[in-house]
Amino acid sequence: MSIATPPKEPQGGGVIDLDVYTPIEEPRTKTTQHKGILRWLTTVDHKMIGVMYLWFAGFSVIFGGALAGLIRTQLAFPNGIGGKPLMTPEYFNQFIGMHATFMMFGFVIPAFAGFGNYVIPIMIGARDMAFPKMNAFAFWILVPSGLLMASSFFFGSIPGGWTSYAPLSTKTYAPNLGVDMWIFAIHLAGVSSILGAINFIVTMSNMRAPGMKWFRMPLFCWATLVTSWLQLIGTPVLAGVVTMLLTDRILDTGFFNPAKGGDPLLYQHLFWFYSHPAVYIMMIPGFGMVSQVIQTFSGRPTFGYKGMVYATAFIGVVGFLVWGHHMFSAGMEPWLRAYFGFMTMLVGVPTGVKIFSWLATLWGGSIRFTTSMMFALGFLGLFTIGGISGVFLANVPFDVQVHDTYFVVAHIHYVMFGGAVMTIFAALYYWFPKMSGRYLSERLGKVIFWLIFTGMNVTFLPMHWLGIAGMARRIYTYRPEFHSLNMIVSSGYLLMLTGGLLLVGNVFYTLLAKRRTAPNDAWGGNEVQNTLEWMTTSPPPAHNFDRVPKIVPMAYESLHH
Amino acid sequence: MSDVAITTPDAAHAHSHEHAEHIHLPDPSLWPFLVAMSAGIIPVGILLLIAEKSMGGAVLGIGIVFVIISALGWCTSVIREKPTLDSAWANRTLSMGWKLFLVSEGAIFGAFFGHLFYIMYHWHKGAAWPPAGTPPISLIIPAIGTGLLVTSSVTCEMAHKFLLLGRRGACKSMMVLTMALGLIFLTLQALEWGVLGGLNFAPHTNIIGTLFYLITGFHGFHVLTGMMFLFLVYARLEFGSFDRSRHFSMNAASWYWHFVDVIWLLVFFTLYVGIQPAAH
Repeated sequence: MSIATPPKEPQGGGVIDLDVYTPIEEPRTKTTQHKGILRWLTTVDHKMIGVMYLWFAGFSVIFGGALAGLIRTQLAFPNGIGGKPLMTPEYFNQFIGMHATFMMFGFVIPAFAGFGNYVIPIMIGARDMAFPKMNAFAFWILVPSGLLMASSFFFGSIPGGWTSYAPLSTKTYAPNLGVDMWIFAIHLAGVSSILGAINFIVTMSNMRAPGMKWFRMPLFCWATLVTSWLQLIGTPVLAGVVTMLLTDRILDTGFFNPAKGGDPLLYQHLFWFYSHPAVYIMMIPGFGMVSQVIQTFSGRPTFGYKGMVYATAFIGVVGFLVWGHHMFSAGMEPWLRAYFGFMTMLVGVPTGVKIFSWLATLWGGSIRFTTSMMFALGFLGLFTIGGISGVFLANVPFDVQVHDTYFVVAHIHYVMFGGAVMTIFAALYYWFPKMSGRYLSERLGKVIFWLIFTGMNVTFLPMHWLGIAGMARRIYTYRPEFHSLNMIVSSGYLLMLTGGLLLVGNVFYTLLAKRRTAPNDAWGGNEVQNTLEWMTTSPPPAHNFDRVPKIVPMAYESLHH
Repeated sequence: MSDVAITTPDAAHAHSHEHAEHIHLPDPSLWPFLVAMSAGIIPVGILLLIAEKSMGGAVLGIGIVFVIISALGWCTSVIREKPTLDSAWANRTLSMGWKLFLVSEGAIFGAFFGHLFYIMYHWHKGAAWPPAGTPPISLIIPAIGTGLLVTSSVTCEMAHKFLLLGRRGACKSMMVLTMALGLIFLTLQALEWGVLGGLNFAPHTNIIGTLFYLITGFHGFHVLTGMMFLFLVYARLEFGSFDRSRHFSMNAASWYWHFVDVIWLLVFFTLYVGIQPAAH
């Protein structure tokens, strides 16, 4: 076997022995392949499943984005146009609830699952996930979930916002079938999440190529591993609590009914026991992807690899201990408020470790301002703002003051949009050539980045001021003095919309019109981080590598640990 | 365990050049798609029932039948392709996946137990416990049930040991005994439900009714699932497709059974003991 390139230092130290890899002329896979649509329906290939997850996420983000447009139109013209109201308050409430549900369960989580499915088995040198059929099932179960979720619109969907707090969601206040449909949609999405999590944990535990030790795994793998544990432990609790809501609704049980000795507050406790870790489920894989992007385009390996790993794990553990900070104004013993406030601020420590590690990685690097890198840098700035307003909110007196105002909306969007969504765009531009063999337009990409970045700030920054001034969230109207700022906020949406439409156009144009030109190492300079996905063809063959890679330790590896 | 298809990591072949040409990838399969789509029919059926539409039951039935048929198809396809795999590695992977699944099952029970503990802890000082409408629930029947389930865990483990020793007949009798104990347990549970139902104690009576029926019902459902699982394993023993090194579904079924047993101990010592009237 010939050595393709000199041995190089991988992620956490060690050398990838490249004699195991030779470029592939044509797939030597021995499985039978179907043609056309049946090929997608029957596939158990992690790469095709990953791509399907990404398409699912794409449809969801378009749908969720359209709902956001309706919300912003209403808030731009709260009294209607020409005296005619645009929508009923009930519709407005449905739109905000479904916007959130689609963006989280339909877009961010499936997008991370998509990238993870595509990249992680390759990164650890495996041929596929541990349970390929279960992998396909976990994707396909999302389809009925999404259909149920979308069709619940015809039955009033969820009138009480995405959290569906009892008693807003109990039979008394929400007798419509839409809530039940939402519950079942959450169940199915939960099944997908749990099975996906099991698959990732087992894959990374048992499928690593020879020599791919735990601390040689790229940071994206670590991030997905931690996320999978959060999903595995958190999602069943969500399934449990919506099941209780369902039995309260259809069997008239007393879980959340104080007249029967139940407690509606308990819905919030159990709901946030999942949904707070869910914030990290929607954030940590993004951290991992950004780590890959930043080290590629700054030409330096991640500063403090092990620190990053431990920080990620620490965020995961503490993530389960802070749910009460969503409930400071809901009634809670003072010592519990102090505890949750303290723990919440504690999350800032590992997050700070990560932010400073990224900055230290950039420091002294030869930075290439590709679109992917710009989204990653945008993430760094925006997520820091979201993190800092999070520390504000961890303070009980402040939180009680701004609870259920637009300050919280601004915070969540700086974290979820400035954080998760920016990392998804960064990852899309980063791995698109690997997945398709084609590059998305860099020139257009920069325009898209600036449109989305500017639009994002124009939309969400004024929300901080609106919130402190007292504008309540989840209400279809507001006091007249908030109108000018709301017009600015809604105009920011138009910027993001333009950016989003350009991106959709770019993706379709590239897929249909451009030819495959991406080399193995599509961005060059993989010798810095040395991850395996850049050592196979773009796109990779069904079996990823002709021979299983063998990662051999460097002579002086101990110096790194 | 419905999914046992695995790709081999080729770890054993990494150094031997003669194996370089052979790459085993799992065959494509329509079953996951079919199971997922059939599973999507079930909530539609339940929703139609909630909306009191006449075809709800039929749709629900169709959904369940489709799920069972397609799941059996999936299992059959997996059993057929299994011998191509490296069995030690496959066992390790499957075990891990199954244990993680049990962790997530535990978390669902965790939500219900969390609810129970919260209610017990926050019950108004001085207010009657258990709340009005709760009949006295005897500890005798559940204590017998505890004995039955603990014994069945032991017999289940013995069945496993007998299989390892190669004593198929003894293994099969132990499995039958395990399933019988499970069946007696479920019968007792049904009896208890019947008695309590006769005292007008229902899920909608009060929070104790809710927690009692939902937790014991959910646990009972797991006992039933565990029995069906044991029965499938028993059927495979009968057809002789197990040997000492390849009997993962036996392991899985017995872990599941122990898991159900442990959950029951929690049910007994927190739910049943907890809702007894206060001593003073």
